[in-house]
Amino acid sequence: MGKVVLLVDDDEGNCGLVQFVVARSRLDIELMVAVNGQEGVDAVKKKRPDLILMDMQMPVMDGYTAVSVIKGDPLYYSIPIIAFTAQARPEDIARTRALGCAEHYTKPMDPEELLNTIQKYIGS
Amino acid sequence: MKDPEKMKMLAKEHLLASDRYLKKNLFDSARQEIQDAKKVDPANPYISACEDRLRLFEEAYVGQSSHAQAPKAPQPHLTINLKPAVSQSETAQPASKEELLTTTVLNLKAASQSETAQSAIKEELLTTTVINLKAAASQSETAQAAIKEELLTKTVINLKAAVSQSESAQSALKKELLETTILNLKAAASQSETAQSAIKEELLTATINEMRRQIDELSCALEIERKAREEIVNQQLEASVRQLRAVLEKAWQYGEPKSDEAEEIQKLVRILNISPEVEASITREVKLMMYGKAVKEVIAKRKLLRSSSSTLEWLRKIYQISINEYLEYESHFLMELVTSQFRGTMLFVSPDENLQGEFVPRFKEVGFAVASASSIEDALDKVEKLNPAIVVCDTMSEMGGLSGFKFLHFWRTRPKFETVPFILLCEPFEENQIRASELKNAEGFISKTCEFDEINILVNEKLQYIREYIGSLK
Repeated sequence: MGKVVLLVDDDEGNCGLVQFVVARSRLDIELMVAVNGQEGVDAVKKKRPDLILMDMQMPVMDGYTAVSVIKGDPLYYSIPIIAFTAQARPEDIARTRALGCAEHYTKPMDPEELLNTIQKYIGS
Repeated sequence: MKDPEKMKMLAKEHLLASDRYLKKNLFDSARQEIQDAKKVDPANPYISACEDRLRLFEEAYVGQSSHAQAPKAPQPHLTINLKPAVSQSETAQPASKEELLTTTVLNLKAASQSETAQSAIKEELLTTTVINLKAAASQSETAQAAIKEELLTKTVINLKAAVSQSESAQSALKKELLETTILNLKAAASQSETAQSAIKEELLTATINEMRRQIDELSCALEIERKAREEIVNQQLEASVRQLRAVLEKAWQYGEPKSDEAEEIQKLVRILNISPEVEASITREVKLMMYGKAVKEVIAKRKLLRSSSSTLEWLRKIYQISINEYLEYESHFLMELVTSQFRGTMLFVSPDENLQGEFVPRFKEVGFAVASASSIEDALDKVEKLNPAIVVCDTMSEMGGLSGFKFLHFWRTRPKFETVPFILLCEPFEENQIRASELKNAEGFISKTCEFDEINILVNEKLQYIREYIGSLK
């Protein structure tokens, strides 16, 4: 049974790159994509993922709000969320940590590092 | 053998000589002539007559000699015999008349005898002559007959000889004809044999040619069949290869296939009966192709990546690209990527700022590094430094100074720009003039009133032509 990873990012290029990297990881992962926080929350409710990669700067619903919603729901509280953002200031990292994100991954990404991070949380 | 006629004539001569001697009383000579005549022609009937005359004259001569004054010899001839009688009568004076008479009688008798003898001789001569004539006639007839017979014989002989000769000649002729005929026949036979030989040879040649043609046809048919089989095998192989390739592309899309995918691939390879070498080759080709696509994607998203080099290194691991393969292909991929994005430097020559403002940004958008020049002098200055891949030049025919046409002429004189396209941006009314000026394949023209897409198509056409031209030189 494969693991489900939800990517929430409004940047089409980033989504494609993550898909590109995940596809070549040879990990047994199903990658779902949502383009804003609201879609992300809906996706989580529709199919519970094993890991969430959450961009913080998004239209409609930003990542911070979406993380708060998910972490506020007892059903999805345990889902690990990795903040997936270009914001790399310490306060940004502290903020995501405070929201309950398990990891703060700073863009631009490194494919191998990203895969290692993903693998770390899904345990494949 | 002596001729009988001649002998007879000779005997006659002897007898006439004898008669002459006899008249002269030369009895021995006369006798000798008679003897000669007898030797020559013993059968001559006058010989005995001449002997009788000789004897008579001798007796007469002896009788005359026995008398004193007697005539010396009796004359058988009448005239001769009379003379002695007269003479004796006149001279016999002392003899008695009786004696004279007796003598006269005797003489007369002798004369008579002489006349008789003469008559007999005459008769005899006549007879002899007749006989001789008869004999001569007979002999002549005989001779004529003999001659005739002889002639006839000779004629017959001659005829026979002639016939014989004729026969011989005919025989010879026949023989010759026969030989000629045989020779001709032999020659004809020889010619016939030669002709037959030639015909046989020709037939043989024709047969050989026919066989060759059939062999060629057969060879062609076999070749066609072989090619068809090869084609079938190739098609089967191609189909198998296509099938395997499709599976491999899917399996290698995201990197090295998983173990279960690899097993499926190996099963398929066995089913398709593809050799390991072919499989390895196709796998390598597919792997590099997929790796190339991944590299292109990575390069396209390079701004999203922390490090392109580490990403490419990661891709090499994913696709199991060896160092050699990397050295061999990755530079090629990168170069292709760069060349597909960078279309080269364009020198855009026009004093018209509106024209520059319209086209230059658009050419930059499609990948050209565009350098602008507002005059031909400016363009000449820049062209050496830039080494442009293409020149787009306004004709500037109405603006004074050097025109675009002059610049084109200068361009043509420089061999280093032979493979650089040159496009004239002309006024609409100049099109016919330029069309008639026989531009080269790398050169072109277009009206300034055209849309960007039109000029971009023309630019791409000329660049494509140059690429193909350079490719053909290699």
